Amino acid sequence: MFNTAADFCELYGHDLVTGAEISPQQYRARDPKGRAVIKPADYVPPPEEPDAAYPFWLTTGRLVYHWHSRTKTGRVPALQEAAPVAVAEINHDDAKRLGVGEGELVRVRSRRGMVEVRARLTDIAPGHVFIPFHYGRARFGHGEHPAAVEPTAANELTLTDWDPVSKQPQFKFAAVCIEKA
Amino acid sequence: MIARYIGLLANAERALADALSLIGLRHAVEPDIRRAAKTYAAWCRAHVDALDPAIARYGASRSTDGERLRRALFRGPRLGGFGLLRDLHDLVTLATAVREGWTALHQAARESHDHELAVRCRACGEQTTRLIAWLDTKVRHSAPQALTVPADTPTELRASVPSLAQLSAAAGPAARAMLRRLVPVRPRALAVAVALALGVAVARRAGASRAAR
Repeated sequence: MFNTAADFCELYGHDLVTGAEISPQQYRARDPKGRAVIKPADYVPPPEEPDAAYPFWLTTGRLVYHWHSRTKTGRVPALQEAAPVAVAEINHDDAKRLGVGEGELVRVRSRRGMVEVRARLTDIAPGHVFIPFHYGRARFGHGEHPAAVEPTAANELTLTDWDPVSKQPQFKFAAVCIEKA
Repeated sequence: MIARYIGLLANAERALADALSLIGLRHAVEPDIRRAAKTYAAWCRAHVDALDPAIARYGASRSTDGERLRRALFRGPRLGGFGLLRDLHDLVTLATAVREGWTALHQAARESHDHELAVRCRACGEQTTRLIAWLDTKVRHSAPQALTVPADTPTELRASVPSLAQLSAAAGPAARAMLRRLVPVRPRALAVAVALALGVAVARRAGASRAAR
């Protein structure tokens, strides 16, 4: 049994595509009475997809050594040394085509901004690039002044949009181009 | 009679698509409104296409009812949170008119034993109901702040000016409607006025140089 009965549930849920709230009357009309609710949703294409100008899919994520913006892990020498600077993971074949070598500085641009990070050549799927989101614009942990700024914040590239129900931001896909810095 | 309602519905769906594009542009500073308006305008255009088989079978009378309703709504400056609330409120009116059109046509299709049209009317009507439910949710979410927190008009004014990229990306009718609101005369009339002013200035300068000689 699930807590889905109309007289017991804590909320009536949403239309997963639009984000519209389900009214009490609508919910009662199909009272699950303790059964699970499985909601279908139409496929919605992402707001932007790679094209001729921005041919790579960018996805952002975590590294095992850091947590969020490194306010703590960046101060742990072993962790900071393991991943001291922002990188862009690029497929070997893509890197060859772009003339980019391991550790070289690359400029990754989207319609919203750009970052300059070191290339790391990996077996990531061709046409994809991964940049960890731990590195902001302010440098620290290198002995520089904390106000020094460098363009390494992956979220400069991502879309300003979110899921209509969960409000989860759409940070996992964006169209970007890559060039040698 | 069915042909009259098909024409009415096609016109109302086009008017709703234009209104959604306009609102997406007018409140482009709100990312979820911008995205949702684009999605729902595409729904409305797909609904117009869904009428094609019915138009082939019954024909469609020319109607301007939806367009006249759109012009009567969405008037005046619609800045910031309060302006968004007013636009959402007006969208509910227009979308409700569209939904009732589908309801009426659905009943006529059932009476005529036109199963295909009945299925299409029901699907399009249900999608319009989902759009109205979204509008209702947005109205309930935006009203408390819009009606109780004093507006910061200079900031809202700055945020309301769309970028060139937004203007060029916007649908034609919506962009023109937006320009008409920003510039109180039609672009063509404005072009004529500029041309006349330039002509007068050139003539005056020519006259002045003749007088100097």
